[in-house]
Amino acid sequence: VSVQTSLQERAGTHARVVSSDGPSRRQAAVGVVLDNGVLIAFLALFLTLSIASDSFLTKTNLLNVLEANADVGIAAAAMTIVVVAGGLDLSIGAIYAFAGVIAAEVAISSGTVLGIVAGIAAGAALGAFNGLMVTVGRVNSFIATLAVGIVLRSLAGVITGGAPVMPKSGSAFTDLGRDALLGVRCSVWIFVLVALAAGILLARGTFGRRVTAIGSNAAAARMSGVSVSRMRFMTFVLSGLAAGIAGVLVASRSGQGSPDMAMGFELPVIAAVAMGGTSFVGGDGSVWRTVIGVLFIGLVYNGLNLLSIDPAYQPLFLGVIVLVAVAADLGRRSGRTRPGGG
Amino acid sequence: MINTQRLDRPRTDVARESIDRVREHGALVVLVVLFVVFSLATSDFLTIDNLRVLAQGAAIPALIACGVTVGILAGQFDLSVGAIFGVAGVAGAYAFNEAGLPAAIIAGVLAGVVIGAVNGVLVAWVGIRSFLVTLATGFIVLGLGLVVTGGTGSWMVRDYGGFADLAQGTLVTFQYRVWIVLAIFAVAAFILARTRAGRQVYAVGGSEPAARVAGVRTRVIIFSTFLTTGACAGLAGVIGASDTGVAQSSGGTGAEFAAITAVIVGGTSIIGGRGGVWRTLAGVLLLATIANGFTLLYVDPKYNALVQGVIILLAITIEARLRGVVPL
Repeated sequence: VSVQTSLQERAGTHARVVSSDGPSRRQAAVGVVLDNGVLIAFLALFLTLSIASDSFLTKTNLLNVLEANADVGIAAAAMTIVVVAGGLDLSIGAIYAFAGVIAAEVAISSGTVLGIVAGIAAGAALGAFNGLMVTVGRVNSFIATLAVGIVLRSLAGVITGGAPVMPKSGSAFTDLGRDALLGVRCSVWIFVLVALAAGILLARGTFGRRVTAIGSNAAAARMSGVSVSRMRFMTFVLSGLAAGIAGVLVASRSGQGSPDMAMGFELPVIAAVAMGGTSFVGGDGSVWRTVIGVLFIGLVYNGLNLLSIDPAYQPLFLGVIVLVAVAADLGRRSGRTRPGGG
Repeated sequence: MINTQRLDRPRTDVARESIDRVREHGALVVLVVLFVVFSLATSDFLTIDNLRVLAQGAAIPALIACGVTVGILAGQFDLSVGAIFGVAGVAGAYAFNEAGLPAAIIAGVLAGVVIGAVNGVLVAWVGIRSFLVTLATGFIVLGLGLVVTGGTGSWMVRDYGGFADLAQGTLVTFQYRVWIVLAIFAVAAFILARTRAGRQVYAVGGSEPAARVAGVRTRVIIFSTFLTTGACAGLAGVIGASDTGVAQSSGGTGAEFAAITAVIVGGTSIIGGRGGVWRTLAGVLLLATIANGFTLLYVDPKYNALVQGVIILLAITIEARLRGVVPL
């Protein structure tokens, strides 16, 4: 009862007031803006940049934005599924680096193709480890993935001795990250494929319905026959797999795997998910909105560059975006917020 | 320790007490065992010089972890302490150049308190979860640190000798910072165990709704824990800057993880409500002792990282298994 009371009490501070004869037109308009906030913000920024900078609305620049944010996009698409299931994965940056290192190491010892496969497989395996920590170990996912991330970073350091691992220059290792297909880099195509796959997985079919069910009410889902543990486990495997793909792509693009890659990678990914209005309480979210969130963040960075604003401001903007997005989202889903805290 | 059992965890009192006993003393027991083992393994370990090195290395991580513990006891995570450490060091170095050592300490602590206040408002009143808030503010602070240092990320101290005294001056063989940190631990332990505010921190961490119903001003308590965490990280930043004479705005990168590791290893419940700062001190010393012993025994330092990793994974899994924590 006390939980209920506090929820209502807290909800009261955020709730849009609904009068007895239905919401007014102004309130409805506010609702539309908040529901499509990320799309409106994206379009507004796109328009602003098109006017403010001549070099923005060019094929080269727009493709650059896509390529530069492909890794964030791939990881964020999978992270959306984890978050909808009510979890969080803070180990993706470490998995990314680990997969990049493994890919480079194996590429040196046994050839490029095996290297790439090994890197991606390592990502999935580490995701499975996270899944086991959360389901069998029954550790809170935020804590488990935080700890696994710390451990993986040091493990990657042990494997490499702290230095980047570089396959021979001119070897096929860099092809995946640098080659283009129909004038578009492979990493962009992979971003599109992963986003489509994750979107379909979440929005259509049994898997997505079950993931949404365990995120909105795990107990109810369990009673209606959904294996909550298996679903949770799967979401972390997907997240690890995506982080692995992202890490391998970037290792290939830069020609090296390094244990220090993708420090702080979690924040842009979480920022994109938050921008997309996916609820961090679980049970509600969509991949396409996350993708718009990724593109929005990409445009922010791109705009800062084009307008020659000091790159030092980038983390500042990113942090503010997360806070505003999450706060706006709290306001939007007034009735469902959870009391503050970890 | 007051009883702040969470509603959703039916366990018998006997089981709970035995778990707490392991928690309370686990890190301490391992610490003592390690001391004995390393003392027997190498004659270099149990010397006053080595203990001094050990204590001086552990002081700053311990100070940051002390604040982080107070937050975790109230169920709040502060992932911005690393960034606070860096920017407080810059603030301290700047203030020292302008107005001397006392101003430097005030500036650093103040920087931490202000950032802590922002965190606290966003968590307690706006209602965003603590790890999201502090992940974001950590980035903002890191960016601010770069901006205020003109993009270089570092700030030199003009009179290094005068500033270094804070970190390096000695009193009864140990450096000032060791005594400062011990004093802060003593104060924090006293407040947590003996005062009303301290008990309320445990109550909020045990169950925020229950604490609120019982009349605790939970928002004020949560806000205060963020001030404490910020102040500790801020002071640590100033001491760190005084140690090297150069404040790096990104100098605290990863400090939040080190602090959380120490808290977990020390045996404070990661979901709040149970534990204490003394356990964290034991956790910090345990990790520092492992690193120190490995160095003396010429073990490759990378295995130190691995051993720490195994310890932290074991610690969180054991806690979750014993307590039956419901996954997020």
